[in-house]
Amino acid sequence: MNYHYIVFSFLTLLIAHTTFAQNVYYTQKGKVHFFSKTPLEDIEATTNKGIGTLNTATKKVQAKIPIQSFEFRQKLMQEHFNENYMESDKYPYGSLDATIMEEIDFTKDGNYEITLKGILEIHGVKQPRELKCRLTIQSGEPVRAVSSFDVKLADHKIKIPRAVILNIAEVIKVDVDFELSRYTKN
Amino acid sequence: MNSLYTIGISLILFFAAAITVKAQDVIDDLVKEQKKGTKEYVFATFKSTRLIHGHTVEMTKKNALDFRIAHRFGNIASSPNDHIHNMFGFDQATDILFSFDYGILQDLSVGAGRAKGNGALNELWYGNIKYRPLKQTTDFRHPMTITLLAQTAISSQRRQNNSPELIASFPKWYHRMSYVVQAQLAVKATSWLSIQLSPGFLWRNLVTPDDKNGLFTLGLLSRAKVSKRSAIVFEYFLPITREGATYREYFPMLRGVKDAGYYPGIHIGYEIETGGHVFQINLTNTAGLLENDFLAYNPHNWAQGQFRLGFTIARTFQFGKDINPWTGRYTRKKLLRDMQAKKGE
Repeated sequence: MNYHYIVFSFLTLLIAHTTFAQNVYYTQKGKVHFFSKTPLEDIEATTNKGIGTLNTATKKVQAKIPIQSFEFRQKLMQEHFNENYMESDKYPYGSLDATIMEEIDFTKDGNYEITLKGILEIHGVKQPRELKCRLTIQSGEPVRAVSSFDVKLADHKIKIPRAVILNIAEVIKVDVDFELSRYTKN
Repeated sequence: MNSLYTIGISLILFFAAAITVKAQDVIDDLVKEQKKGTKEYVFATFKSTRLIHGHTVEMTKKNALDFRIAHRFGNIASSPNDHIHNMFGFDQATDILFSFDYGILQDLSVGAGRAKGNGALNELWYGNIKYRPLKQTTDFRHPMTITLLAQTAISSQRRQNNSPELIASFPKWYHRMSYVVQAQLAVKATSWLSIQLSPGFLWRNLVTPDDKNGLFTLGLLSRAKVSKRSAIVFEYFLPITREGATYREYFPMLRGVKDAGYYPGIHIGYEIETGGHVFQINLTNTAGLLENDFLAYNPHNWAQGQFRLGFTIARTFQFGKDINPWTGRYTRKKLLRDMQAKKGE
């Protein structure tokens, strides 16, 4: 009986793991781009090291963007971005922890306009947000999530010194493009 | 009974497993995995390529030109009443440096410039090359950043006479030259504290009879940030192999003997960065600005009021595709092109 017990529990553990991880779609190479536009200056930076997961069972969406991975044309600007504005040694990630509000069938192909409701954390400051997102489902699996939203710097306590107040926009436009694939590691 | 027991335990385990999977989100694994694969380098150990007089481990960024003007005034309070007549040294310019540094690669830069010079030789034209073989990582697996500097200076000073007591007599043309090799080893210990050691070797082709051509030097540099954009900086430069120097000579603050010889450089300053510019204001006992100069020739002693006010202004110009180096912004061409592209959409 002891032997049965061990095998059976082991099997259930295995099943539990696989079933729960099967619903997860992820990326580690998500593209994130932000843009600050003022009459004086355009500033933009891109990273393709965004991490995102989508759990189709719980409809949970999570993202973590390493701040230091943002690449600027001007390397000195990149250094200032990290050191003075984002303080990326203290707050290394920008993150989203949200749930999909709509009822959607994740096996039916098509483009879905969805709403992500949850917490957006940048510069260590959490803000409840509802973000619009376009989810593409192809051959019965979510393959791509694209979103575009605004981030108000004041909301996240990112201070702009007076000397450059005309060079940096108060509201930054953020574009996210994640190509998802099934998570199979567990 | 037994089988019921087994099923019960299994169910509990099943839910426990479910809970653990849920609690330890996949995203945390992904973050860990990504972190393992990439080295995160420490940035901004110092604000600029020079701290006060000495080179830091900072490199001029790739395709960027770093232009700096440094100025050192006269002694604040030297011999009796001099400072009254020259307004605490403001009337004098003991040294002035113009320098240009250009980043060829991320870890390789070249520099050139001219200093007025305040030691045995004046009118110093110099060129240098700086290479960074190692960068500190945030997990301290690479515990420090290391840069190597090689610098040559040549004096365009007029020949004075043929007296061997004077270096400026220049019996041979190459007597105008001197060379410095220096390593910079720096640790950004915390976000606000950086410490650097700068061992180096200075060779002068001609020295006075009581001096030696080769001179080992050691520098200790440190920065403590007081706000996001400003810091208090400190430097200590010690010449080690000067002929005839005694142990006590290197601790002039304890000694207080007048004009006894050469003193270590002790510099303290404050720096502010305003995005693209770095301003430094400082108090130093050494008057020369170039390593070839101040490492060897410093007769100034803090204890006798032989220190001076100085300032440095550095400005970075970024070159590259679609960037206007004067403003650091995108060129008008690129903006117009973007606008047209948007209209096309």
